[in-house]
Amino acid sequence: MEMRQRQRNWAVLLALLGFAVLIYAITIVKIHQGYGG
Amino acid sequence: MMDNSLSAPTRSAALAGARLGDYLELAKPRVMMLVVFTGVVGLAVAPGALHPLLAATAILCIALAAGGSAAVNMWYDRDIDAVMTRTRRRPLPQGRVEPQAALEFGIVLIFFASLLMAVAINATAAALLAGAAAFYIFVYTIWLKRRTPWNIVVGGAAGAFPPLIGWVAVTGQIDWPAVILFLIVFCWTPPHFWALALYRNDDYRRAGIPMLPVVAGPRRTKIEMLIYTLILFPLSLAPAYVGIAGPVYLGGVAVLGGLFITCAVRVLLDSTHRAARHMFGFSILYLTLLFTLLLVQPALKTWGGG
Repeated sequence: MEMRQRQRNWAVLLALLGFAVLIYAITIVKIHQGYGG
Repeated sequence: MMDNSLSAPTRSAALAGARLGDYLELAKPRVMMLVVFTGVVGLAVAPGALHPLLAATAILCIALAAGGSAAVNMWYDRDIDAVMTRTRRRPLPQGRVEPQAALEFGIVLIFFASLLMAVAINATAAALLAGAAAFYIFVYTIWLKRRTPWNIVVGGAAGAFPPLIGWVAVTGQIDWPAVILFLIVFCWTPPHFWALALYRNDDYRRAGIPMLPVVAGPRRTKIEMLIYTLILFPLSLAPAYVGIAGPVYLGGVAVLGGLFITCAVRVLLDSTHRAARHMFGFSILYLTLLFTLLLVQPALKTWGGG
């Protein structure tokens, strides 16, 4: 059970990390394109 | 009414072992694949270009919202899912995921998907995404599914949103070609689900869901199915006349439409479940191939030099 809990924690952490990277990349693209333009 | 029949010890033992795979199952991955595919085609046929990263993000948002909606649907329907053979192995009826957890999982997914769509793509696409999810949950699942045989006719609109959302992600507005794609999926849904309902009639009856074969009988259902496939035929040709598809699409989809109508006629003439089973399988192939044919023109534009 502990192993599963740990797996789930890692999965949540990776998902959050992935989300953060995605938002960062989107921001870069939007700035590059001229945000709001 | 909503409680399922698992005994307390079985439940608590199972709940402790909820795995990631169970959560993935809550998102109905097979349905999600077709939803994502039609969304991708909406993106591809729309005029203009979206940065590849933004296009991938839009697809991700559609997938997440579809998965979230499926999870909330499974949360609400866990009592009837436990009764039906087709659905009783789902994570909630089996007690592998706690109902509250499924609900929260679904809401979080829909919320983040809509928010991400608004930030990364545009407000119209985000509003349509949130609207489609809300429509699926409140109009289809909660309001219509258990009350009327027209549940999947009206509710089918929810599944017709993805190509529209894909289009709006690129253009920022709703245009006729996108509405046509919406209408194609909308008119495809009733014959698709009624074919299933015909051979799963006993299942739906036991669960008390008023699907058309349960309420109006198989003959009426089969006539309605034929009517929808007949309406679908000219509608499926329309993309070629609004500039998003060419002669390859037109020829291919005419053959597909002819086959789909043949299926419906065979269902009408067949007194067993064989033709209905066949038509259900073919309906999935039909929609997949129709949307694949729509990719021909954008593909030629990209790699064929015009």
